[in-house]
Amino acid sequence: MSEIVWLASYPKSGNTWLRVFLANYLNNGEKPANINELNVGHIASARNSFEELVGVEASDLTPTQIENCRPMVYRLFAETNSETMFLKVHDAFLNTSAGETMFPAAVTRGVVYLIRHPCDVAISYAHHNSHSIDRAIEWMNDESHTLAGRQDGVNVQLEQKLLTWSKHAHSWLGSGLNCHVIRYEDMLAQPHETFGAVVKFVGLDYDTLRLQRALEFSRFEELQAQEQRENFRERPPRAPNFFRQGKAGAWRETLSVDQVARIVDAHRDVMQQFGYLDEKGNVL
Amino acid sequence: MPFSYTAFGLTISSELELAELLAHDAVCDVTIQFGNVPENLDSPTGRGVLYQVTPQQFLLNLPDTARYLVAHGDSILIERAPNAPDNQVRLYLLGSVFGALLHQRGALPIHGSAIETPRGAVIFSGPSGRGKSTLAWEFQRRGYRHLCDDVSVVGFDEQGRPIVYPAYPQMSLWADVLDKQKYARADLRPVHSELQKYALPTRESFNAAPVPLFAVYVLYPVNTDTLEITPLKGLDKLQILTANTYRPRFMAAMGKRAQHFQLATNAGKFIHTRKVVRPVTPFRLQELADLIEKDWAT
Repeated sequence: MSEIVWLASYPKSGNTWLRVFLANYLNNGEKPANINELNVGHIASARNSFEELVGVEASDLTPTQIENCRPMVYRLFAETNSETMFLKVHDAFLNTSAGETMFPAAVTRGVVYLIRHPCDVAISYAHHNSHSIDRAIEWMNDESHTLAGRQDGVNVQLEQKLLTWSKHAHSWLGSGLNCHVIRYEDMLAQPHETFGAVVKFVGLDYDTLRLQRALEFSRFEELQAQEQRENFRERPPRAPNFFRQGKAGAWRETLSVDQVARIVDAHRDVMQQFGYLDEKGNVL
Repeated sequence: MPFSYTAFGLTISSELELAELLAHDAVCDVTIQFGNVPENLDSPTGRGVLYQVTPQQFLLNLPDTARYLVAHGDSILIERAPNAPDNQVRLYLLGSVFGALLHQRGALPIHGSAIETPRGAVIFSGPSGRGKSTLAWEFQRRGYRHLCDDVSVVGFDEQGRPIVYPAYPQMSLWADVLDKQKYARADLRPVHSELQKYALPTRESFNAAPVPLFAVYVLYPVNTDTLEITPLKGLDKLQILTANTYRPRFMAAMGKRAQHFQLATNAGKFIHTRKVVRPVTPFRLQELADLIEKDWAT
């Protein structure tokens, strides 16, 4: 029996970066972990592992049936593993139609919730999906936005309901699970403190040298270099690259005043809560 | 009076009409009956969300559809839920339930769709969503005979060479695949009333006789622009057969790992295995089919 640490975030908020760091920290190897062989933080909505544990094809089940099977899948994951498992999640924290929480407290060790400035998320999400920034802002403001939600064909992943950008954050932080929030901006500006706090939160042995090396091996330049040498298998097919800028604050040069206003109008509270908006309403 | 059919190399006597299967008159290997199915098995050696396994029994529970009990490789008992549509009861029966029965019988079911080529049977394999049925359908339209959809049962002839037993004359295809090929789906039956996945009958192009297995092509959609076919040898070959076995957890919980490994080893001695890399999107179906056709011809 093991427990699960959920690496939860809205897309494009540093989740993959955190997984690369954890892979390097856990491997504790002499060279950087290969981004195409990450053994940490498989996505909770993967189809194949779901099918194996459920016993029938996901494509022979309705979205409601799939949703109702998911909590039991995670209980089985925990039951059949002996070490703490890290699972990446983009789903919002929701109840299934059968009334259970999708991610059961009984097998949860904790949640690392990653949050990033929504104006930067909009740019990165647009790029990721090869769509306009306006479209990405619409998605972030749309309560019914889903990933892998197509109904006329097969998806590599199970359907994930995201809610809006702020409701996503509310859902996890109000889940009652033990949550540790990290900001993408702090991962960049204070990597030691931010990643070090994650190591402690998830209950891994804290070792400064090991932390130092894992940070070195998961530097943005390293990830970008690996992606240039060989394709990153998690890159969306239409996007030229996955590791694009790895910066904070690009929105200042990229977004129009109107685009920023649409984001602020929709997500004021959560932006304020996490220091992306001051009391006077200035975007930080 | 039960119905009599043949599928997966077995003769089947069934109280449930199975319109998908070919009719047959002969002594039966498997009986399918309606009756009371328990909610749980005693001391299961393995379980999943919807199934439980013991060395001799397998239970599948699809809420609002049916519970299925498979025993000793020769009987299937079905307890249907009130008002469960027939097609849904059949959908899981012809998939996971038969998969479990085949494992109980010690067969080697591969997760893949099969066609007959001049060189022998070819299986397109891989986890779901990789384009197995789409590719088999393309070859069926090119005039090759259809053998299996989604599950391909490998058995052995008297000389110990692997053969593929035909399943039944139907392919399941998603709306987007049919639409892309401009196939009118108005007349097709959905496999499930709430899913846009359709049953495409292949009776006219179906080969009902076992065919020696020639090759297994395992599909890998990746972020690439290229199509690439690589032959696999030695341990890789064995690994690909075990990794693409249909529902390996059922088999493992039945205590059949060693036997299964032996079957895969025996099959591996006689067949070709290929890793097929294709772009995630676009599928490039025609080009891929051309390439595979060339590959087995040489």
